[in-house]
Amino acid sequence: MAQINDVIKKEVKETVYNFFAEECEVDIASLNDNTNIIKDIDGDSLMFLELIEIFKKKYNLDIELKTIGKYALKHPVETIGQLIDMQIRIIELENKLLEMDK
Amino acid sequence: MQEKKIAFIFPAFVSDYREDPTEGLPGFSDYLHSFLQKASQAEDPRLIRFHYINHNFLDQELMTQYISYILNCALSEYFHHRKIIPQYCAGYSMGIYSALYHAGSISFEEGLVMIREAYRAIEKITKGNQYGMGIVIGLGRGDLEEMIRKNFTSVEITNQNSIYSFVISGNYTEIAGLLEMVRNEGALHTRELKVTVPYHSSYIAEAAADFGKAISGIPIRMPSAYPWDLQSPTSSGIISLITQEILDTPGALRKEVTQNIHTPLNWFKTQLRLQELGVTVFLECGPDSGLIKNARFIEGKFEFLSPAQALK
Repeated sequence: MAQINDVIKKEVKETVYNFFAEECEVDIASLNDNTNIIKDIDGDSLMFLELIEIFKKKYNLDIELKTIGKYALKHPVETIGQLIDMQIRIIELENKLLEMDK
Repeated sequence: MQEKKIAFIFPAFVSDYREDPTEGLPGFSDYLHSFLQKASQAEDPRLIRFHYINHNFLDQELMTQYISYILNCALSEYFHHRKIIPQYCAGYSMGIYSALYHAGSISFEEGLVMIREAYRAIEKITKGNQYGMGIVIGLGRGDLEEMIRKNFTSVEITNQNSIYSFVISGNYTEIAGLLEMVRNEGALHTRELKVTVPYHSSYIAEAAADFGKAISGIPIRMPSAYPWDLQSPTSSGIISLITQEILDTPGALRKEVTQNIHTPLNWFKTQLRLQELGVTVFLECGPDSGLIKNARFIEGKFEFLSPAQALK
């Protein structure tokens, strides 16, 4: 399990904002934590999957995709802020994500 | 862009128009109108009324297939006139007819006949049965196969779009059941497709034979020259989504067209094969951007462009 500090939080936030600005071809300044990924910027589940892969590589995470899928079923993500929180939780708990959620 | 090796990818059918398919393509509406006119004269007079919002025919399966084919073919000609010439092309599912037209192997009108005959043959054997298709994103192939094997007798994986993205076909109730099960087992996303037949599955094998007979009179020509520009033929090999081989004879093309109906495809492997052949630019030659989205999970140095992006 990783210790989450302010540097990691900042990195995650920057990565997520840059990713959506590029993928959805929107000005990064127009995004905020309340931006709805599907309704406001036409994002999709494949983008979510791609972001997970980016973080898995970046932080060398030991977590199965289906574990994240099960977690997402209990904690649906709609906004950029919720997505950032989930990514931080994934980095922190990796494969213990579901276990620690009980 | 032309120094790069390009592949045109023709999508199957559009399920939603997010924007005007002529947007960002100066002069394309004239091409589209011309192809709509030809199709309405040859096949169905209603086709000329197509409009992406007001008359998009999205609730009529056969008409949607016609429209996608028309848009694909119009784009093929539009790019040819702008000297954007691919080295290879591939047709995703029913996009195979557009690929054949693009390579000069069939005429535009013959492609319309093929679409109609495939639809008729499939409808004949699926009528009265409830079939469906769906998409599963976020599970590995092994997990998905195991779930199907243990719980569903009629569901087949009929295409793989990326490492984590699959198309399934089968009995409608079982498709709905599987989609619910995979969501509970950790799939990040599932979706039912707006179709009523299980394309690319063994359930419609009989239709392939019937379809083969119906199109036996259509002469499939060597893929190489454009029908509207025989003075400067351009090589454009068609890649099979079934075997990933280059289809370079009329016989191989006829076999592909017939088998395409009831044989599982692998779009993921086809993209890798095109990369092996040196392709660095994939141009989605159609109205949707679904294939561009799926390409996100393929490793390698390549770009996937929409028609408007290709002009920049």
